[in-house]
Amino acid sequence: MLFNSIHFLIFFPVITVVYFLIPAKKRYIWLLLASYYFYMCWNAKYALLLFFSTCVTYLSGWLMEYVQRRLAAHPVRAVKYKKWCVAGCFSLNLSILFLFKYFDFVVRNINVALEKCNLTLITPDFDVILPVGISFYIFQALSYTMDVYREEIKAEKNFLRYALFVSFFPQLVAGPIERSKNLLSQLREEHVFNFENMRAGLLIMLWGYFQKLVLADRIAIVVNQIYGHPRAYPGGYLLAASVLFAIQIYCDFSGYSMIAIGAAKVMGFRLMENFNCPYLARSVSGFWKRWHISLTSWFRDYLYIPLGGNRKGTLRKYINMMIVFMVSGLWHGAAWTYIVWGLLNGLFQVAGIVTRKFRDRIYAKIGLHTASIGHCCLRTIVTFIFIDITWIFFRAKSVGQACYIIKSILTVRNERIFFDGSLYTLGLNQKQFWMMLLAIGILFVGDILKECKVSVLEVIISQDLWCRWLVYICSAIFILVFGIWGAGYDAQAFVYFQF
Amino acid sequence: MKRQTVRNIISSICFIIVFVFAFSKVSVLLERKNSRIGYSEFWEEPEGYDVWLLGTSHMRQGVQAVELYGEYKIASYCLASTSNPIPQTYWTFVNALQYAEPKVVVMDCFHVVKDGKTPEKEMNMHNGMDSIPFSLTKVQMVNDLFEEREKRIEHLFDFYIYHNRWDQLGANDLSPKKSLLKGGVIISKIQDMSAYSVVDETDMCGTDSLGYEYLRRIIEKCQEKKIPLVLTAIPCCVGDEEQRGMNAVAKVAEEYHVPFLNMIYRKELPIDFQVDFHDEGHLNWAGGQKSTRYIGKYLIENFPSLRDGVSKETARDWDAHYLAYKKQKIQWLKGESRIDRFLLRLYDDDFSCDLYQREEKEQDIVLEKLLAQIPDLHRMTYEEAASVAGANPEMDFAVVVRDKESEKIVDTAVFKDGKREKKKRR
Repeated sequence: MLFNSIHFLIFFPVITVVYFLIPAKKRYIWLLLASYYFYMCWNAKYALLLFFSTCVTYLSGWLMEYVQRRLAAHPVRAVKYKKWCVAGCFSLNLSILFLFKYFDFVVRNINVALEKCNLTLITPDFDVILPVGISFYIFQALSYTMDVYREEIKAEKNFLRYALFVSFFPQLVAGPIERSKNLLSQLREEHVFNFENMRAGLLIMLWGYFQKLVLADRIAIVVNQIYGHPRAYPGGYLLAASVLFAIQIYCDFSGYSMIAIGAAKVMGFRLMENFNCPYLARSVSGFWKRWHISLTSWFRDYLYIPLGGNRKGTLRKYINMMIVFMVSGLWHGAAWTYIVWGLLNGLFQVAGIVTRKFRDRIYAKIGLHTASIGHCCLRTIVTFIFIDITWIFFRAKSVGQACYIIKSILTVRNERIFFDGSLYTLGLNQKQFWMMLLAIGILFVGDILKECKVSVLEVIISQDLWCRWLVYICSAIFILVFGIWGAGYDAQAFVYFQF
Repeated sequence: MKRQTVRNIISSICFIIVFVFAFSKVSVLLERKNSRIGYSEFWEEPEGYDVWLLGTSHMRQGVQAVELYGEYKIASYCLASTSNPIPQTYWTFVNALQYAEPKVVVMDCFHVVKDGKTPEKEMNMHNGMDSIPFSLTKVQMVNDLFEEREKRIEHLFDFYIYHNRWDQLGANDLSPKKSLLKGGVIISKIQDMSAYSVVDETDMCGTDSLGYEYLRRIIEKCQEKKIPLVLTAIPCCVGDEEQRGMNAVAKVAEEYHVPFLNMIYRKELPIDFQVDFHDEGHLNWAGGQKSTRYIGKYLIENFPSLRDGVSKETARDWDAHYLAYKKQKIQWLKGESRIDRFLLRLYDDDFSCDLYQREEKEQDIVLEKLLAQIPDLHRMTYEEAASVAGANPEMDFAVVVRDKESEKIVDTAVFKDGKREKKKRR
């Protein structure tokens, strides 16, 4: 069930209304049923995997607390057994992830290696479809295990409530990856219907739908056309597509997160912010503090810090960063392009840290005002360029194709395409193209206002009734009209239009 | 309940009402207007039409509802639509019966041999269906015609398909003008179909297709409502299989004792394959006029209830409508820049014309045929033509067209090399 489907637009209000009507003590059961129904709409069989992961991580938490209690007098042994629990839990869950997400990739690469050595190829008998959201809910469940191990939270006794934590439908398939400290405690609270929450939640969802339907899905038309045929669209086309892809992926991901956050807010839950104007960052490391915040913080807390973080010397810190980004790349997908994407991000971060002092010395020598608007804008643009280079690898079908795209952008001179109407032949006509640019402008303004600590939500809510209603109605109709959804009108499909 | 909660509930309800109102206006603006232009006049006021014309675009171009009134004072509406499969025709009829009942139904049977519920170009179903008001019957229609949920949504809530039409909005969307043709369509192109050979009238196929199943349903519905039905096969130059399918309608018609006019075989219908078609499927203006007169004569002769004409009030409305339609015909005439299409339009009892033809010009057989069929044509000498249209020895044709009723000149045209010459400023 996609957020931008009619099914969800019926499902969500029904679930919410019933949620507030039933007794508070039973509400989590209703949400649990709704969450499993939501997931099973994708593929009913894979709900078993969700359930399995839930059971394993729940048991691990229970077991660790049991061990802690029984071996209170032997803390060293207790820690040892707890570590075994964590290892077992991680192994089981990551095995599932490996099987469904990475097995095929590994086999393919082994086959390539064997082929080079003139050896027999491995041909697996089964072909698996990736269960939707598996990377998200497994990470969320594993974070609970780690939090219990670290004694940051108590193990949840109520299995059904814990199952809801893992499967909570607004953030189940695309995040944000919630922490048990934040979400589990809220699941224990009694939520009373709050009109302001509902209004704020719906407005947040509206912004999410704008990002997803008006922006991401519209930009995808152009990007898919160009990236689908990179040799037919060299130079300027690839440059335009690469820049647009950066916006597309931001809006797609952020849009989904906003819808999830808004939906949860309507029901009274607070989910963590997942994107914070990432393209206004002035460095690659700054970018990663604003982009997919829930995943970045997960890797920081459960991979980078256990690896030693920055506590084991500078070189080890850089290695740890590279490992984290490589794993992050793999998390996004089982392909070399994602690994290269991750490594490049790590490399740019490391390079940024390594060269910081050198750059500061240069700026001081030439008398550059690093706090000036001009310098900040320049840094923002340069950061965007670095990030966009990595996005090329993320989007391309192969590393080879990504290298070809970069080479084409740098060597082919066809700047005229930006002025001669060529861009209107890529799936969007002139009006649709300019609508896309207008929407990007709206997004940009929204992010700038947020960066300047202006809460657009609060500004709207503080207006008079007629003004608020005008904004709500115009926004909703804007999204319905200009969004990419439904069957859509194609004049070519009609004949005899004069009839 | 707290006062604030009550206020919030009332406020929310009011907001929803305002939103739905605004949304409905935007939805109407974005909707493709073809269906509204063609059929909204019927769906808004379905009473008062004695004859309903059903079927496909063959009917829309083959029988002109407004001409039926002009010639025979029969008030009719054409509910036929492009590519209508018979199931869609059935459901359009059932939907219309919710609101009114005609005295006679005339139905074209093209597509009867088809087995599907949707045509090849499925989008064309919107042409006929968009303007049908939402009702339980329309829901039944959509559920019967479409298996896919998306298709059902598309036809019940057409915003689903038209929402992104914003970049194609034009003046017609802001203030759509209803067609004056009561659901019909007039095309003035000519395509020579004289090479077409039709199969023998007795050459028939089986009657077990889905089209035939729904044809039987239409007949049974008419019999249930005691509405006389006339089945037709409007002349068309289609494939042998389709013609055999239409020929086989005779078997069903006999089974149910319903008249069937297989018009392509009727010698008394003077269809000229060289000049009366605009493409292989459709009659043009002249062919449509001939077909309309044939049907009109048949209706008047066989249905006494139609001979009484319409009520005074209805006649007043129709007379005003016909006047507007005549003005529209004059505009079309003035807009024709090709001699063949111009002469085609003169096949019209509302006009008389004086014509000069340069004798030295090589005779074009199509033009000769078009000239021969103009009902009220007077030949002019060059001098007479020059006095009205200006001296021009090079002109091939000069035509003065008059409104037969008022005898006023409605158009003067000079043609050279097949093209209309622009009027010289004096």
